[in-house]
Amino acid sequence: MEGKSTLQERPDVKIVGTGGSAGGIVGKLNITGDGELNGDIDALSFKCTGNAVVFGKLKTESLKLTGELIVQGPLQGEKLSAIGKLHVGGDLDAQAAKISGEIRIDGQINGEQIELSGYNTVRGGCQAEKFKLHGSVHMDGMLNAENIEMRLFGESRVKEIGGGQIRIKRSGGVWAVLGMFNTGGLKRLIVDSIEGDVIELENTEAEFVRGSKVTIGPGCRIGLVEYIDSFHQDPTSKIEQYNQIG
Amino acid sequence: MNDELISKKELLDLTGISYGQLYRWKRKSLIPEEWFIRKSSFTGQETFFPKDKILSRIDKILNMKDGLSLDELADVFSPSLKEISLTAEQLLERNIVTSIALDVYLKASRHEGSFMFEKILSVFVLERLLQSGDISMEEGRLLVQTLTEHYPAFAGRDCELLLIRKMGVAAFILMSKNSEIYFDRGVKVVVRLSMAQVTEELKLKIGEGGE
Repeated sequence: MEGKSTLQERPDVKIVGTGGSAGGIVGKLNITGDGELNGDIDALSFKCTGNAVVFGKLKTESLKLTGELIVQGPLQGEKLSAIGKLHVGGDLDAQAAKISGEIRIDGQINGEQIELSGYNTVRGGCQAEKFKLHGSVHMDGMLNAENIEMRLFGESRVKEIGGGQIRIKRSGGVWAVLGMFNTGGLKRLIVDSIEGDVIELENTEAEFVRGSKVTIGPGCRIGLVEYIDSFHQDPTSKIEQYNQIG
Repeated sequence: MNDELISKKELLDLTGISYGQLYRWKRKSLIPEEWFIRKSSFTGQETFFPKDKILSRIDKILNMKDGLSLDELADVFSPSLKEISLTAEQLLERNIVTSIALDVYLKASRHEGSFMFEKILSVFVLERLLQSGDISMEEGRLLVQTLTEHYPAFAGRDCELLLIRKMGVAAFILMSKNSEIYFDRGVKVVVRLSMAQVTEELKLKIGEGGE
């Protein structure tokens, strides 16, 4: 090992067909086919078309996945884009992540811009500046983001939501048509509490909603709404109690 | 510790901050996770905060946020040590420490060149205890040795500095935060200092003197 030398080589790794690598510090890592990486990886880029398993941590500046990727440890990256199936055994840290398909994160999600579509399971919570969801999510922890936008498709559950602007909407357009074949339950979000500055909800069931400007659209069931500046309610929604505070 | 608690609703009411701000500060670690205390109340679950701590923290954030970005603020409140180094002249010029404390420090440790944050912190603590008259210059050397040898072991975790005296003999103790400790009756606790708090004060002081 050359240690701290600035000329430290980062060899490129290419796996075509079926193959494996020990991992380590590498440059471009390309997998086409089936790849098995038996250790922690620090890569400049990670590109996988096919299946890959990382038995350890994965750190990469950019990740491009089409297919299936399992990372046993945490996944850390600047820019992540994935289509297919992604399973992360630890935390997911990313500047910008755009993931669609089936996603399971056993830890926490931390990032700036997180965009998920499809079917998502998160064991921890999520902290981000921008969180966008199209599909469904099951999150055991708290979702905390400046900007939260959810378009519901199927049933979602989140423990708590907090942030600046929070918009929960049922999906429309093509997604609504696809919904006819949907077996994952109703389009709705079930959550203990939602707190934010501007809150707009549709098809949401919550015990509490607290915020400055609160708009409860159609299809909601809310236990208690506490608002500061304004409050609107769709007549089809059920709200047990609402108060102006502050 | 039996700190008085304040509910989230009361807090927002009292300080005039919004939910969005509170969550933003939490994301940026301006408010530590462990201050969010969940308790069940008659309406379900509610979040409470240690009242004095959160009020003084919010006050500081509101007063400083015009000059500093949220990330810079987060730096101020983090107990880990900032990357900073100042020369002896700068320390004196900026009134961070006096020449008396600096002399004692230099005598106690073989030190050359500029001071890294950790060293400045030692001098800062020394300065404070000398000023308050709690320790003599001789004991100051003992303090410097204790901090130099053992403070790095806490590696960014909060700890407390204790000075006890028995029959006039001083002893310094560094221990992890919130641990319980008991002495025999002959022991007098002269000083009990939270290092995280001193770190915060020092960072503010260094920040003020900067541009």
